[in-house]
Amino acid sequence: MSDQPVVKTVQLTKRYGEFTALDSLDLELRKGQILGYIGPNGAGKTTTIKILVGLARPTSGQAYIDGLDCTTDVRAIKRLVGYMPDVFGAYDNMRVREYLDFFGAAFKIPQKHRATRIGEVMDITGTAYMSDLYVEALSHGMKQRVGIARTLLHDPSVLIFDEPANGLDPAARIDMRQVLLRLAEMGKTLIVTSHILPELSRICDVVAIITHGKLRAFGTLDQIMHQVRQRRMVLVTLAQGHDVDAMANLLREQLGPDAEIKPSPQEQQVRFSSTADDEQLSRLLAAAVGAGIGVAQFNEVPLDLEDAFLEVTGLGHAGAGPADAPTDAPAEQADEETDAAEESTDAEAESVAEGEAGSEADDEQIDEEVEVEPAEEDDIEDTDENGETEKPKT
Amino acid sequence: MANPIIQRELITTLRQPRAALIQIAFVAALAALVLAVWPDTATVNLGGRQAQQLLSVFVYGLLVGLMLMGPAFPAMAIVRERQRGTLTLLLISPLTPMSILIGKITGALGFILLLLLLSLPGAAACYAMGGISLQQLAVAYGVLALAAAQYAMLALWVSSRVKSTDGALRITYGLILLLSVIVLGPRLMTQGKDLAGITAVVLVPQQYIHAAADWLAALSPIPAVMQIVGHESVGARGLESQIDPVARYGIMAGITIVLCAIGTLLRLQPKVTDRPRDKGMVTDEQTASVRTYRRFMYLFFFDPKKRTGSIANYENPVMMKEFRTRTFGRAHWMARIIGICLIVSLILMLLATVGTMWVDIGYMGGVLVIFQMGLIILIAPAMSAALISGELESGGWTLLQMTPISARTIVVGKLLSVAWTLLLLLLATLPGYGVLLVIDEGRQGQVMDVLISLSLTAGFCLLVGAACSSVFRRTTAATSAAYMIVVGLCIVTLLPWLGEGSLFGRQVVEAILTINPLAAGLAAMHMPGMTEYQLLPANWIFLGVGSVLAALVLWLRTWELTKPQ
Repeated sequence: MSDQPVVKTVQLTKRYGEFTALDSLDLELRKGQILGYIGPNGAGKTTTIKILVGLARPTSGQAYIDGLDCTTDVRAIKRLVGYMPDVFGAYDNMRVREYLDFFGAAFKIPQKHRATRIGEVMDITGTAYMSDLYVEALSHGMKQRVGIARTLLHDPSVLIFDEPANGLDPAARIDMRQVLLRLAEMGKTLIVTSHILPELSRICDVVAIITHGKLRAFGTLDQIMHQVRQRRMVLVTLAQGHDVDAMANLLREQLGPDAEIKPSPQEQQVRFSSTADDEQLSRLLAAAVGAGIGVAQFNEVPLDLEDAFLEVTGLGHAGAGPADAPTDAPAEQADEETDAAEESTDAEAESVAEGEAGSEADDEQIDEEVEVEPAEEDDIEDTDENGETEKPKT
Repeated sequence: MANPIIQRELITTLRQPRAALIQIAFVAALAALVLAVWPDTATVNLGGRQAQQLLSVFVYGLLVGLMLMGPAFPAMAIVRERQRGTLTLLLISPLTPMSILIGKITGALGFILLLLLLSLPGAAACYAMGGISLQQLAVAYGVLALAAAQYAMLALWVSSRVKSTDGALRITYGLILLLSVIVLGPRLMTQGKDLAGITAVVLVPQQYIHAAADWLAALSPIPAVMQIVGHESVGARGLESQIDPVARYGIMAGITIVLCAIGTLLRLQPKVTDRPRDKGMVTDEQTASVRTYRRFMYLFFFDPKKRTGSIANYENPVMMKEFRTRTFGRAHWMARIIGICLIVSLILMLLATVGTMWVDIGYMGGVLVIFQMGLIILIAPAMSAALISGELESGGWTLLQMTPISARTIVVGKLLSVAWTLLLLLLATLPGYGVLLVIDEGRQGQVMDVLISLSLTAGFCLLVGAACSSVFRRTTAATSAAYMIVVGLCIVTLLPWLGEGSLFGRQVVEAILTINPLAAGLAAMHMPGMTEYQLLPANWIFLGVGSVLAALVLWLRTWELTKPQ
């Protein structure tokens, strides 16, 4: 992989009036990397993408693709980037080949080369058999693949996919994952947004987690896990007939008040989280066996991207409200944003009004390649039925 | 309410800002109409002539209002449910198709009847002038309510059959134009005439042809309204039918309502959702016999199932895309429409040739102008109102923005796709003028004037529709707005013409008709009733300025939409 970043944003900020959709975003992505760009609805993902593809202008900061400024070199950027929005953009009465031919002509691919190019992208995406089908009659998974074929037509170096796995069945998701990996193997740089985090964790080289327009974590999956994993979760399964409460009492004695212990007699299991290291855990297991407790399994529950996401965004904390919930933004603004979202897909992603949630974390510096800022509970506010905000109950 | 759909339909309709806007605009227009013709002196014609003319303008105005506003909600009632996936929810609920239909039609009619109620103060003003009976008013309102029900049920039936909301609106307006105006054509041509020449060809007795034309015309509420306000019935020269036009309209409207209701009920069955996806059959992949058959039937070029070639380097890709994606843009549909236009034009030629003994040549020319103008008014806004808004709705606009195509190429491609279609349709209707010129060479100048008027009107309608599609984000709103502007200009401005003499002075009527392209075309052709007006070249200037303004709006909005947010 080249050392030069293919995609780079510097203090990228976008405001709509008083509402900050994107706040000082710093990202770097190198050739052939796949970035999993994740965040709740309204976090600022689509705003970032729109700036990168030249559909929106930043309020401040810069965005570059292959060294070209996304604000001033828009025409050149269009040739470098293939963008698949979350809305497919089907045309009635058009067969797949006609559809691709139109976009090929729009990208000024000469007529004599176009058929060959269309054949190539259909092979890459596995859509050759759909050639004569009508676009509007395709299933969602088929449309997504045709959408990818469309983005590849002009052979861009950077591909941006907005929710490509959304609404796909498991088989289609596996197909999608393979297509994306194949594209990365071809040297393409990919930015993929998704809510389906297990999917992303299988294909991404780097992950960026964003909430309320602010980058919360950025780095490889391992780096993020390492930062997030401050407490480890262990699951103890007991043999039939052994007392779950006895095990729970033993754990309390050994780990002290800091540990969170959840016995589940119905499942013959005890789940606990603590900061204990490997040595302490082995002593704990020996103590249990020594006390005559029949331990059938003693496993550390692995942390996945979903847990990391919940941890970083603060959504994993009991009582925390949704990260995209409207908070104390002015009511008019919230209405405006909602209307805008109904009116167009443009506003959809960033339409949810955001308030001061995350403000404390916002002020902190992100000064390393890997920064993890677990959102504090106070960052997230609940919205009650009357639309009024209140602090989390925890 | 027992039927939950009625409640939901009415509430959601009345909650929409568009509904409030329509109500306000409707009442304001009626108030302006009454104020404009209200006598400014204390004397009133005791014979009630002034009141009768006010009533006629008022009732015609209401009818045009119903034609324009009535179908807006029912045309979307079912197709929108289908698009949102809620039709399936209704079909699997305990609600029967009949209760769904009743709910939908009652909800739609509720709004329309509200509009009629809002017009009652205007009717009271007509009554206050004297010379009008309450019975006359009641019959007028009865016919209008029946027309509202007829249009609403027609719109609902269309809504149950089409795939898109804008398509539903376009087809509904087209059918309303057909049911209200075009069905009058045969009666206009045949009433009171000796049809011996035609009966010899078609072997049908004259009285049957007259009766068929009468009953066909009864599909339209216009003859009934003419009867109520005391105007001469359409084409009523010589022989008159013995059946009251109001009763006849009642029968035909009732039949239309019942047929449309049955058609809608048949579409509200769960089986309509039980369809496989289109397999995308291509003629090129079929057996030799099927290929030969289809190539023969569609003359090869017009086969919609044949593989299309690549878009050539010199072609505007947006224009080609428009041709391929628009239902009526595909070659086989274009061929059909042009064929229909040719046939109608040839029929008019035939009638002009055999009918010169009993029909004024200007009258025949006028019919041709009405036919062509009707075609332009119906087709141009329908095609152009989806140009930009359709892309915005489908998400295609973002994709277009991501290509190197400039805003200019997009706009030019889209406009050309409609302009070519309109040009082909107009060319298909031109042979009629050739015959007129053969019969009377002296009309060369008039024909030229008409052709200029037609071209300018086509350009104006195209640009107004396109401008609306750039201003509104939804195609249904853009289509409604485009039709209201174009139909309003061509039909509503004819209303003062009905009241010329007592309600409006000649100069006022001429000034108003100056902006009416239909009136300008008819005046240019010296159609009886329009000969005294000098509307050209003022109408051309109006259309030219209007077109430039619409083009400016289109350009500015497209520029705004293409620039980064």
